[in-house]
Amino acid sequence: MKAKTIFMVSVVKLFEKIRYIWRRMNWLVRVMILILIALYIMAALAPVIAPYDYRKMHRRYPDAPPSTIYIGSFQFSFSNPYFFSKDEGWKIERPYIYQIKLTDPLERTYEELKDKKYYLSFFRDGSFFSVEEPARIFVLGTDKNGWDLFSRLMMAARVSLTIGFIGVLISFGIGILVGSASGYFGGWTDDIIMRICEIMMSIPGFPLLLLLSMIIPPQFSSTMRLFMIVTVLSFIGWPGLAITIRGMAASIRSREYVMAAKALGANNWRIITRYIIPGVLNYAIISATLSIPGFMLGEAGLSLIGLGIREPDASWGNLLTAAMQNISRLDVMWWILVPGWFIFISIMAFNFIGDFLRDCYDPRMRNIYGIARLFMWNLLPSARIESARIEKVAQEGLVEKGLLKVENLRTYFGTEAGIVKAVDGVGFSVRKGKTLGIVGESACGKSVTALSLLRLIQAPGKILEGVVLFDGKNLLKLNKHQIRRVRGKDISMIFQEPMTSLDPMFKIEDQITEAILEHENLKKNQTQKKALDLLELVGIPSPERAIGCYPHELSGGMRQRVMIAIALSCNPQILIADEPTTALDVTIQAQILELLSELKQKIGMSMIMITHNLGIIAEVADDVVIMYAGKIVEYAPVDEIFLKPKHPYTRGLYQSVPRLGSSALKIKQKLISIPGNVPDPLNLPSGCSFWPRCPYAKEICKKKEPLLKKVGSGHLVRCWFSSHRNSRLQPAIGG
Amino acid sequence: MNLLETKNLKKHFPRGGGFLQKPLPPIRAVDGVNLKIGKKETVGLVGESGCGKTTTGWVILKLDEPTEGKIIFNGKDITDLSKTEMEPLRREMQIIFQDPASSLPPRMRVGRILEEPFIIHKIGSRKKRREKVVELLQEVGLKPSHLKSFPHEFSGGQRQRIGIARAIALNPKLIIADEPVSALDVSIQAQIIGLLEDLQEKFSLSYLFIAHDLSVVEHISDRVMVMYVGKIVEEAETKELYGNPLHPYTKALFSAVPVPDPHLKRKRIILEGDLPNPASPPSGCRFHTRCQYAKPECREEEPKLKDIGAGHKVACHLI
Repeated sequence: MKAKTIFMVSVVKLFEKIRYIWRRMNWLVRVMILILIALYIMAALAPVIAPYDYRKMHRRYPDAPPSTIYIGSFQFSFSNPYFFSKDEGWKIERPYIYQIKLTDPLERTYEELKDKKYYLSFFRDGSFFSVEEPARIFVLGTDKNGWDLFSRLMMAARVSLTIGFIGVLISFGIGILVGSASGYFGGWTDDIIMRICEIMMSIPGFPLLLLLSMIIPPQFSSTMRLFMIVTVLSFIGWPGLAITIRGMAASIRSREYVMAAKALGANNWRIITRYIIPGVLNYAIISATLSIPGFMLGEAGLSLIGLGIREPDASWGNLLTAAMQNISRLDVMWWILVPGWFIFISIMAFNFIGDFLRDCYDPRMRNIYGIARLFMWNLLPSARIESARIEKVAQEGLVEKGLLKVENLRTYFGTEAGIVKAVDGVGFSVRKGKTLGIVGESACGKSVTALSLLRLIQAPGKILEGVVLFDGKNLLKLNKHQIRRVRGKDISMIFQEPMTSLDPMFKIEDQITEAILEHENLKKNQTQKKALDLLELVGIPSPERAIGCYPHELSGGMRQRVMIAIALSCNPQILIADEPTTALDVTIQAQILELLSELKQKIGMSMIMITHNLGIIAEVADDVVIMYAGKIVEYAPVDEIFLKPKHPYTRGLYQSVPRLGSSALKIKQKLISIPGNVPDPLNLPSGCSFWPRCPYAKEICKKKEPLLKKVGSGHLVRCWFSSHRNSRLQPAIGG
Repeated sequence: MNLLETKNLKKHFPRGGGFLQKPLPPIRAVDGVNLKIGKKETVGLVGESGCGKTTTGWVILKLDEPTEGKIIFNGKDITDLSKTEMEPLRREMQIIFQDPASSLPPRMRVGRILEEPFIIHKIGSRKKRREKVVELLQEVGLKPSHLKSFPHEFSGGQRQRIGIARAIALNPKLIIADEPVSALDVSIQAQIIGLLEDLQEKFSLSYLFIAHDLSVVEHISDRVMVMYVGKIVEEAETKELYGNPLHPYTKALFSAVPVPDPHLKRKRIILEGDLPNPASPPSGCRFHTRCQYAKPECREEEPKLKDIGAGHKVACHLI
């Protein structure tokens, strides 16, 4: 009783899964699956569909043309499908054919004997359709041996469609198991298995097949022969797969979730079956689906040289081969076309399905409608228009000495899932010789802001609106060449990950001189001297040695110094630093911060420092911008931000960071965290983006978005409550 | 009796060698660590990258076999236990990882991920397991509706909560927290730290809190150990260590942390040079290459960890 319910439950579950997957398919994949199902049904029912035994030679009808089927006033034959006579009007009657007779044995011409009509009968004698003897119905005609091509085509489907499937099952079954075990266990197991694979792969497959074909005794039945070919092809195929799977297994083995499973006490078998194999199945399934065509074509190729399925047995491959001999005869073109079309359609179907399966197995599947939307997005024009001020932003005190002024910057990303408003109306100023700090957490838009300043935004991002005034020009209005002259020369940028920002293929020397040569015209020895000077300036010990190194030969701190050197090579007026020390150790971070402030003083350069670390901001910034969900929520000089933070988010950040020296306090401080999560950029809350996490949120916050308002000298806040001068918010817990 | 104790724990990673090749000197990731963790205690382990703190955590859990030394858990020597013998003990000690993205299997639903511990140890019927999973989710502040979702549908903080739920599923006594908040946003860090503290209170957990963020470690730990290139250079109770750091490295470490107070003027100790390569550590005291107080003896002899009173231990010749 229990077994029955379990069975029922699993059947229902399977149905649910199929329905689920079916729903996620787009129409193209659905069509392809239906085609494949139809083909396999056709192959399964081949003996019924075919009117004759495929091996039967109709000796009196060699090279017969396709039979013409008469249906009332219509006439249909495969070589002439469009002919219908208008004399008798449009009548539909029971279909019939005429018997044909060979008139010229040499020319192989036939004529129809129109004395008797032979009507088609359906579902008689175990055939889908047939005619009474002595007439024969040859839907596709016969070949020179008198074989009915249509019957052979149907039976051939069985062979071709099975070869692919079984071959893939064998080779992938072996390949996945061996590869996973090899990759997971490593050590000697891995060495031995890999050597075996390599040896097997170096055995030339083709001569092996030739050898086997000669060895197989001719009295082997066709099924045995088929089995042998499939087995041989599989055995040649699995080592290649095993090697790739082994690489994937080895990388999954070191992932943390495998370690976690080990820590829980899972044994090797469980880890391989539940963690490694599902991880490689993604690749294996699409690879398998794409290999089935390979097997089919492999068999066709073998038939071409007479090593595949031999006549009288039929496969699409050897039908093609037989047809190749008549390739010059245009009247029997379908002998090649029809098997060819079947092969082509099956292969296309497998390819499309394999592609879809891969997307399906990857839980992050994409939808086709998003791609269409993306296409429309790319046609939108970007910001070339100087926009009028939308917000009444009073920025006195920060305007006059502004070196760089940004206003109403909007950068949106058109993704398949919707439009992401990464930067949504941001404006600030950078004063000469001062540092502006931009603070925010992930997805707040700080990095995108920095990239937008230098127009480094790539599709699907677009700078839709805004003004970036620098040196009297609007950077967003410059053309390609003009902006390139600004990048690296007037405004430079350094990034968070020094390893990926430096090109691993080039030496340090080349990377520094590239920047110099781009903007200045110096001779080779001059650029080298300048490079050495720069490296010394950023504090790299023994610059002559460093210059000849590749990035991976230097430590993280050194690489970041090189990045700074490159950025400074043309004496920029502004340096944009996007989380320059986040990836570095604390002591190295201190070195880099020290270096940056030294350089600032020496060269008199301005800086935009982007970070999430309030400590760094306190140290280096003069003015601070706090960003949340693509907007500025607070903007003030650094003293004000720390002593009198007004926005609840700023205060929340401040309170949630543990302070060094807190252990000395008598009472243990509990960290006051900001509840909730950073909002999903595709699904921002209405009104003020921060209200779901704000302890002071009221009705107005949910409905209307607050504007940036001035609350003090040079201090702007975007909040309905803090913008009152006599705000009743409690003072922040002082530093 | 301490919950966990290690005696002279070492983990060396062999390099090179193989067929017909001479092996290179091994990477001495952990080179003689004596650790003690008591019941319901949080011990912080700080250091920079490559100092061996993560490896220490893994070796304690026997995820990697130690090269030398002893690990004693709850009075039992587990150093030489085989895999099968370790299985029941796995329920007592668990681990939380740093990267919420890679610590959860991407193709398993959350409900299944949290059921794994019970399935592996063959605990409870299916129905009971499901109930326990819902309990766990609520314990870490997530909703039962999250059972059917995949890890990538969650934010970093939520994934970390799932990782924590998985770790406490079997009611362990010791949890190795390997940089559990480093990859999270600032506002989420505070939430997770709060959660860890609450769970410690509720389930009497002990933590080995491995991190490089000194302020976070100070907040949560009872005792702190400072590691440098595979060795412990200083250890003390939190208040003592942060109030009175003695080792030059510890002092430099503290002064390097930027403090969110623009008016604080400090004399920063800037260390020269980079972290040494653990495959070829400096002779004698490993810190002597960057130490401003280095004397000739520092280059020759390795200092031992000395107890200078009140449980405060330092490894330095000058103290």
